Amino acid sequence: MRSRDSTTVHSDCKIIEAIRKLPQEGKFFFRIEEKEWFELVRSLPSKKLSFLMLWCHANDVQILFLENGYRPIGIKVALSLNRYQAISPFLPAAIPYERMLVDFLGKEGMNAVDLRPWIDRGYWEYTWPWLDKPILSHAKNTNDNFEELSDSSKMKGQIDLKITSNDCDRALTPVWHLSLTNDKIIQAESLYGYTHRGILSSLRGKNISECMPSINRINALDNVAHQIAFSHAIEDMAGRVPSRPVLQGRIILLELSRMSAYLLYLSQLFEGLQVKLLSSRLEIARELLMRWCHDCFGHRWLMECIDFGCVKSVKPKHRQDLKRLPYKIKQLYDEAKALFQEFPDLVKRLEKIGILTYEQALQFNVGGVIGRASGRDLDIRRYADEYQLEWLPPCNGTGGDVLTRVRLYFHEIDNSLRIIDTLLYGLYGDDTFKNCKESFTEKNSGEGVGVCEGINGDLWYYVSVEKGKIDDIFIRDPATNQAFALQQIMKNTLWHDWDLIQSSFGILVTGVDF
Amino acid sequence: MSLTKALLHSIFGYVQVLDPLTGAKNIPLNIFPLACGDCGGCILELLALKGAAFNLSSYGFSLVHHLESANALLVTGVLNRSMLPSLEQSWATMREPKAIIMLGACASNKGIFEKNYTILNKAINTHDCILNIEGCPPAPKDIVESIIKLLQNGSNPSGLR
Repeated sequence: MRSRDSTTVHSDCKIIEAIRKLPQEGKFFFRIEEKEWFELVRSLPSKKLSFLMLWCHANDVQILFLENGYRPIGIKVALSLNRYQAISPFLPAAIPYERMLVDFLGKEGMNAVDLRPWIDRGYWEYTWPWLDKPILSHAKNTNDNFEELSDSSKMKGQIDLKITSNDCDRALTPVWHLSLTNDKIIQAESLYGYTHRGILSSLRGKNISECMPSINRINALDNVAHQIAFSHAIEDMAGRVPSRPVLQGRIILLELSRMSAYLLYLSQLFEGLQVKLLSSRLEIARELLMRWCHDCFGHRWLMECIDFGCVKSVKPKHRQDLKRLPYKIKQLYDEAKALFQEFPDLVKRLEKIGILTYEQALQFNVGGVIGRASGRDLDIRRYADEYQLEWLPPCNGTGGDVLTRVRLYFHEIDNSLRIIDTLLYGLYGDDTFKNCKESFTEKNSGEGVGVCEGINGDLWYYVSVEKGKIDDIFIRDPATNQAFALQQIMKNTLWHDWDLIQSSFGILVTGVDF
Repeated sequence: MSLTKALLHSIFGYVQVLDPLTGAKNIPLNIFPLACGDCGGCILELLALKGAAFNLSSYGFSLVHHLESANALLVTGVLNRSMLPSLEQSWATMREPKAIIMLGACASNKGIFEKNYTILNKAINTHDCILNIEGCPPAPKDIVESIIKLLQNGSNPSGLR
């Protein structure tokens, strides 16, 4: 990273002050001139201002930061001859977003660390498809844009591997390029974009009430968080807050989806280690959970359960079932947890591999379980009124290794079980899940930001609505940053740990590729 | 009795072994799954069949790791341009007789995704498709039932060429 020039930089305290003095445009953004932007970029990184996402709308680059970790504050800077001053030299978390800007619009960040394609694999119909007049693509097949080591830095006995997702056990993993010497990975890069569906571009121009089906199918595993974050963004735009029962109903759905995802992550990890005593219990617990979700909410994955201002009603005949989770789920999970501690050499196998340091987690803005396992104290749920503080005791690890991540997945499932039980048993009557959809979209123009702590961490939506239609939308899925961090930590690890480390990060492809 | 089976018995009750019902005497169905523009739902529901909650070995078909040993290519997700070369290559690699199974609404172009720069608004070659499993995503139970029904209809599924 580059060093700061002390003569022009703003101090941590002054940087937000400096931004707030700029002309405001809309609810979140401040307009900055190119020269001032150059100066401001040199003040980064700032402890007060963490990078969230970067995208382009009309002729502006828009960068959304978080003030003191939660409050969104944005910068708009006009493009100059299709270029802008990049922030990746100071904020590595911006690298994938700057690469996306080239993929979608051909806008280049000056001094950017990396401008190779992030998800454009060279097969799209158009080059820069988000342009008003996109250019027909000539088959360029950038499929193999792996950052090759120069001949001089190649080592004796080096082997280059390309691992595709063409295997039924790797159906939801990216394509990997690895260079190895003596079983040690010396270069690693993951290629995404193969399951890209162009969802963001298809949402633009749509009526807000027509967006939910696509939002539901961005990422099946994390679809509840997507539904909630998008709903929050629209509700924020409309200046309305849903009733407390609705918010708490959403908590139940979110924690159910979290449990389901972490049971899957853990079962896949133990399956990979051939510890079937654990994986079988976790798989069955997950299947029972999904069946229960289907019975109570009508969908195994809890899709189409949330809308603006409301949550889906529960089938009347299953209201009694909703009072508590089936006992068998907890029993199987408890057995698996106990076995994890007792199973010979299992803890030792997971220890001290795939370490993501605190500094790396901070640099790449990695949150969720992965970030917390590296010592970051970041959980967006704590900022939400509907969550009670005693439900979310801080639980961080400092190891940053696979073991710490696995322990935190278990801890999160424990937490989710407690939260769900508390809400189902203590706080809820039959009318909790009543479909109380109100006219949350009476105000049909404006901007909104929504957030939800999904399975991979904090998931953010920015929407700008014009007469009921989406004018601008961008999604910050935490999987993007985690995917980038994962390829960084693969370097210098052993080949036989590669699969295990990847499993400990969970499934990232659908969160990156949408 | 294996632990897995004991668990199944205790949770779901007796799980019927379906081998005698499938009728797949001559050609066992070896399925190779390939995710195209998938949200993850269909492929994860399919892969759940390999887990302890289901007894895949008793259903008369299997999920295989290599295209060379597959005679059915199971496609999930909407057909997108980025996966098209991989799809074509996979199909070409498979030996005859072979067929396609489409899993979920997106694969048969009945999903929510519209045509854009990466999505092709067409379904996979229906001539080679022997089975279309509906649902968004279809539950593992529905997947199993659909495939068993296909196998029951004849020892040589009609489309397998």
